[in-house]
Amino acid sequence: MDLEKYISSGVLENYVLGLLSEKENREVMAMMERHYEVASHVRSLEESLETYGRLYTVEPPSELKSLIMNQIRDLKVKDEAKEDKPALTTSPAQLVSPKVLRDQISIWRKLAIAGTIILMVSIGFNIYLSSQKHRASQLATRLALQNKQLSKNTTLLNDSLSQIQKQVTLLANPDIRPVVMKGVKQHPAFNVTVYWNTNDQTVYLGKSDLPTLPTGKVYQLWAIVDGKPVDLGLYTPKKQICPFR
Amino acid sequence: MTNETLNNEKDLVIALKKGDESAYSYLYDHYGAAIYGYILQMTSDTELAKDLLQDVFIKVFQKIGQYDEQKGHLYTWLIRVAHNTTIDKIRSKNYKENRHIHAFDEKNAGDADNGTTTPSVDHIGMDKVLVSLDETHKKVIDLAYFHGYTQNEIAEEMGMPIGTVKTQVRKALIQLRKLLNIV
Repeated sequence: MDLEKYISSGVLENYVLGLLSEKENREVMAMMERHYEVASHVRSLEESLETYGRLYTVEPPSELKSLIMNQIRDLKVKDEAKEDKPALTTSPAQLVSPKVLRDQISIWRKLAIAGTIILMVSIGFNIYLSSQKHRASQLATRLALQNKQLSKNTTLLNDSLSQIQKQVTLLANPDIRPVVMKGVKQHPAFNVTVYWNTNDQTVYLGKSDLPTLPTGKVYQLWAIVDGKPVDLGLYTPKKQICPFR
Repeated sequence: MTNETLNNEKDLVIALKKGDESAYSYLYDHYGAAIYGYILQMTSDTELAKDLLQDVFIKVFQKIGQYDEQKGHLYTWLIRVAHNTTIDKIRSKNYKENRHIHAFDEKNAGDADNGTTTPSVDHIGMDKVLVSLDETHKKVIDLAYFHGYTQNEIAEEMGMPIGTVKTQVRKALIQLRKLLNIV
């Protein structure tokens, strides 16, 4: 194509005034890319129109600049906020990009799983602690019972020990005379030893295997002095050694 | 960024794309009046032009990323933004109902009063350009440049065949360039 003929065809003037169809526009742009002369001519025509347009320059009202600058400042702040935290500024779900949404879901899912695990561990630990507490409380009750039993045993042993000590003391006394009393006809197997202090006339009943008495009954010791019975005192069993008088 | 460094259009565009506030201040100071005058030519409505100038700067802020300096001057791009913003506003149903102002592409928009408003020129000698420009040439340029008329619409408006419109456009620009001493 003859370039000069193309440039002087009028198509470029129609192009800069926006009078061509889309198809024609693309053709001109292709020519501009291929031929510097065409591009240069178009630039020159645009400059002419720019100068022509500037002939119509009108100063806008003075208050307009600050209004516009404020709006631009607002837009800039919004843009920066959007860049900083895209997920928060675009609250409607459909405005969130799929990736951000997916990330959020995965974060929430992870948090939910972690929460469930923590909850289950906590419940398990509570059950364990509760059972431990129950066991400890049972143990404490058992120990208290044992303790009570032991202290009871100790008291019994102490009693027993003091009885034995008394008996040992009694036997060591040179004034004491042991008297063995054989069982009567009805109870030949039973024997009782009585310790008689000849000095102060006190009688002690030694460890005996007397038969168990029915409820409400007691033993009574009698002595035969000058053919007459003399009451020496009553004996209630369970006491190993008891002075009748 | 200071005004000195904004002397270069390339630097200005870079600063605008970064969202530099002082760049927008500079843009307003150097291009605002031209854009405002352009919008006034299109609408002949001061109040509307004030609103539109704000809209244009907002759009520039939002769309400056799309501007490719390889494809044309910043001024040409700014005028295109202003043109489209104004057309959108004029064509919007809401605006038509409220203002009863007709879009440029309606027949009466091409009336001599509307299409060739005399500008308030403060450039010494520039009014000569406008006075000297052939009336037909001026009308062809204005209908296309300020009102976005198509070749068909200009042909109908001026009562001439489309082929004649095409050649008139070329002749009009040649005369304009001669008057502006850009040849």
